[in-house]
Amino acid sequence: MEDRLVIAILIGSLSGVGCYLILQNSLVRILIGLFTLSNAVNLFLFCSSDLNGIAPVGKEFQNPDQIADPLPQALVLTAIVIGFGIISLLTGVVLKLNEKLRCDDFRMLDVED
Amino acid sequence: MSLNITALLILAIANLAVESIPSPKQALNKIFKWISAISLVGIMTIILTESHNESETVGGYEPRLGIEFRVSLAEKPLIFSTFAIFLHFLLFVDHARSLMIFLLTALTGVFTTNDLFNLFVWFELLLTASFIAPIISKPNFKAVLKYAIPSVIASAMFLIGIGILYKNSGYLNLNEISNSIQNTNQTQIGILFVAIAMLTKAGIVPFHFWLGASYHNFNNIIFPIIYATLTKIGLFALSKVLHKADLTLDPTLSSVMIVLSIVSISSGFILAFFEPNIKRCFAFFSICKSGFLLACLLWSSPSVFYTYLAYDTLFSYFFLISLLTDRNIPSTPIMFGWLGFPISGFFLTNIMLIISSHANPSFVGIYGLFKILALVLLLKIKSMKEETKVSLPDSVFALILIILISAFSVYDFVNG
Repeated sequence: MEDRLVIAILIGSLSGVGCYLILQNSLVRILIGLFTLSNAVNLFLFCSSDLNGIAPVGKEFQNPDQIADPLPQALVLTAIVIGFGIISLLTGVVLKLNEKLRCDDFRMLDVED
Repeated sequence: MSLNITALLILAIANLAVESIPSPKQALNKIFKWISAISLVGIMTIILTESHNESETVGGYEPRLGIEFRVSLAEKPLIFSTFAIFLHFLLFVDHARSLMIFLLTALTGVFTTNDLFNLFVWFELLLTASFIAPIISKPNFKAVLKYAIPSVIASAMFLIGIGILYKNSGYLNLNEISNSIQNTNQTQIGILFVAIAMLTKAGIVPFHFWLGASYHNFNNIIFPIIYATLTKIGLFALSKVLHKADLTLDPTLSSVMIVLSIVSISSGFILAFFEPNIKRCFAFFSICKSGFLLACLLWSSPSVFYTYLAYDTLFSYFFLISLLTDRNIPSTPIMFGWLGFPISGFFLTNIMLIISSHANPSFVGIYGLFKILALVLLLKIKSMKEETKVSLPDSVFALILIILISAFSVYDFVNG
């Protein structure tokens, strides 16, 4: 129960920080916010299985109920890789934009239009 | 099915390699163009001729662990029209070939997968390809950011929805979810998250803010194919999740979505009508069209909804490719007066859709005939107004395809 509470608080805090940063005007802060939010979501996805099971590797189990559900773990791994790829792409875009505009303000994008 | 997607991916990589050669020889480029076109026809034929009762699971695992690919009969017209417009783009426009094939790969993945998480993966690939699209001809990084940030947030929402639905059903396979899930409050929250994510991708009010700010930044050549496919795919995925997983919307949620569709229809039409910039105008009109599509999704059967999507994909692409890439027309601004007329025409044909999709039995095939008439009329108006010749291949190609789609829907109607 305590583990679940700690993880719930962690997910809530990460989501809160992520949303706060996304609402800022600095492009770098928005990027960090997206990264934090994506980590919060990954943790949430990880918790969609029962957290009490034993890791399903390296042993033979008599009772399959003892084993933790491996599927969310595989999903989280994929989600991390995809999230990392997209954040890297966006980091490149922000860097290029910074080179071009010499500015880190999201509002400047509208001024340029 | 997974082999088809792998073949498309290899084709995209091969084209990327050819495009990366510093000074590609014209002959090599031409050979790859024709290889790609023939391969697309082959892959499309395989997908369309596969029995809709058969499914394929990657790795041979059971659905809980394996990823199942299956195409229903109702989805086939949509797959056909999507492949057809990419084939047309490849043969007659031939711009950014590797990116376009990559986009088609991701779209094929979205159309064929029967797995909730795999749907998320294909969506991310689709987004990656569409993030790159605005920076092909000029370094337009602002468009990428304005488009990417809401899309990444929407993807996070989708992932939360997947987590909740998995927690409640124990499955990711859409058919298995339908067998095991119970309609609890938690399930409704999961559906709500998935719906918000998909409505954001479709540009439904109030999640539309990114559309007007980013769509007009795509160049004239890529804009038609992006306009014809990307916003609709969000609603297609929502329909797939709701219908295949047999998820019932809560009456309150359903009412809210109906209100959102009405607001999107009216605000999208008004914004488009008074917008002088042609690409921004169509970006706003896609909000209106998404509203119509959402109404169709909520009120009619999946087969009617998919048939409408197929018609609309063809129509939007051929109208815009003829308008924007054909030639002597300035991209911005265009005269307000004449743009208001086709926009009103599109609005009326979409009202026809709602009437036809609501009828029992649906006469969506007649809607296709309206579309053919509208297309011929609009191309005629365009040639009169701009004093340019509308290219024959575009209109003939579009006409043949729309007749074929009509034949599909008649077949579907006859077979119940």
